[in-house]
Amino acid sequence: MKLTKTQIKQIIKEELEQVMKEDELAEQEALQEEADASAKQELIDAMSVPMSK
Amino acid sequence: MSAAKTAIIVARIINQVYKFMPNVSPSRMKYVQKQMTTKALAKLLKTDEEKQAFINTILTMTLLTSGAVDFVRDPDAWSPEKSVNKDGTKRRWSHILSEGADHALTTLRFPTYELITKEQYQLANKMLPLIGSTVISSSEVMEAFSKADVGSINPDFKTKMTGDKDHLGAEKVLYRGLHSMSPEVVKFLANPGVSWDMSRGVSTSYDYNSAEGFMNKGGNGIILHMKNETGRGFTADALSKYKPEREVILSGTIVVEDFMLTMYAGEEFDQDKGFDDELIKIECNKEFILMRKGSQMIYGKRNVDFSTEIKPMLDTLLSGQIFEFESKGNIYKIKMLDKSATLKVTATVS
Repeated sequence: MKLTKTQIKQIIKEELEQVMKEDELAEQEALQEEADASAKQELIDAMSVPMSK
Repeated sequence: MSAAKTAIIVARIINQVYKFMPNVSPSRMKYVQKQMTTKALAKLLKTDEEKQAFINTILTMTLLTSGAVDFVRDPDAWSPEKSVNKDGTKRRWSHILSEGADHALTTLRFPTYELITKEQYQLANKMLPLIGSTVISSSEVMEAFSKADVGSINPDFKTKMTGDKDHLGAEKVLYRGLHSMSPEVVKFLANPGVSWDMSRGVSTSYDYNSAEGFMNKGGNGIILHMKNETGRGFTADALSKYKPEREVILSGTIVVEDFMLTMYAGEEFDQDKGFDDELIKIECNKEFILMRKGSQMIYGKRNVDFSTEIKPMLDTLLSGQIFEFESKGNIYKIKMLDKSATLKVTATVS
């Protein structure tokens, strides 16, 4: 099967968009994980202190 | 039964002894409490291992409730210069022990007049997860109580213990208040299904009012209502120097079941003017959202999908961004008022 230049450009564009979307998603997930880890740490630190203090 | 578990059961009995308020003079009461403690220790702690386990349990509980929490968490931060009281005097065990804990330790010949050491904070750091995750039942405590025969010293105490017999194990519901929390923590907890590991041991209470009072100290407030069906935790309570807090040391994993969030937002936010409009009160849980402006309901929806509607709204508002929505033909652009969130979380401990 032969592909035209336009088709190749379209495929490359779609692939590139897909990769960028995946990267963006991975970055968002990483940021979320970081935020959750920081929230958990704050929570545990706060709960360690007795309410009498 | 392990020495560690025996130690916790004995601590539970002595805790009851120091919660007991017989109708006698204060000096007579102290005398009776001391007598009962001495007898319980003599009858129930038979081996050196059990005695040491009991001493270690009381020291750990005391360091968390009345000592320096920072050193319990990180014993390497300890230094002789930092281990001091507010008046600058070097901190000794006798400064931070409750009356009951002091008498019990003295009876076991622990030198309560000595300075608190780094090694003791290291021990507390190691033991806290263990004592916070111990499960004891009411029947185990009652069995030990009968064996110790402390009821023969004071019949009223025996009646009280028998009356309390269903509550001598761990408390089935525990509370924890938190104040001045960041929006990130509110966002994290307002999410059914999330869990976090508290196995290093934290401080909770079986008294709702203590937790609520602590939550209301300012900033974003959170109260955790934890169902403790497995019966974990060490009831410090009357053995702690701060009896009214009704403290329970807990270790385990917490899973959020549901929540109720209340917060305030301003409309048409202007950085220079601030919130110059009447505030909007937002209330939501995992399936409904309600917004009021004064007495008028401007938005209300039941059976809302949490992941597609509630969570994105909370993420936006708690991140300090403007949330836009349409209701009854009006477009609203709102922004959360800083530190205005109150979150009530229902969770399970396992």
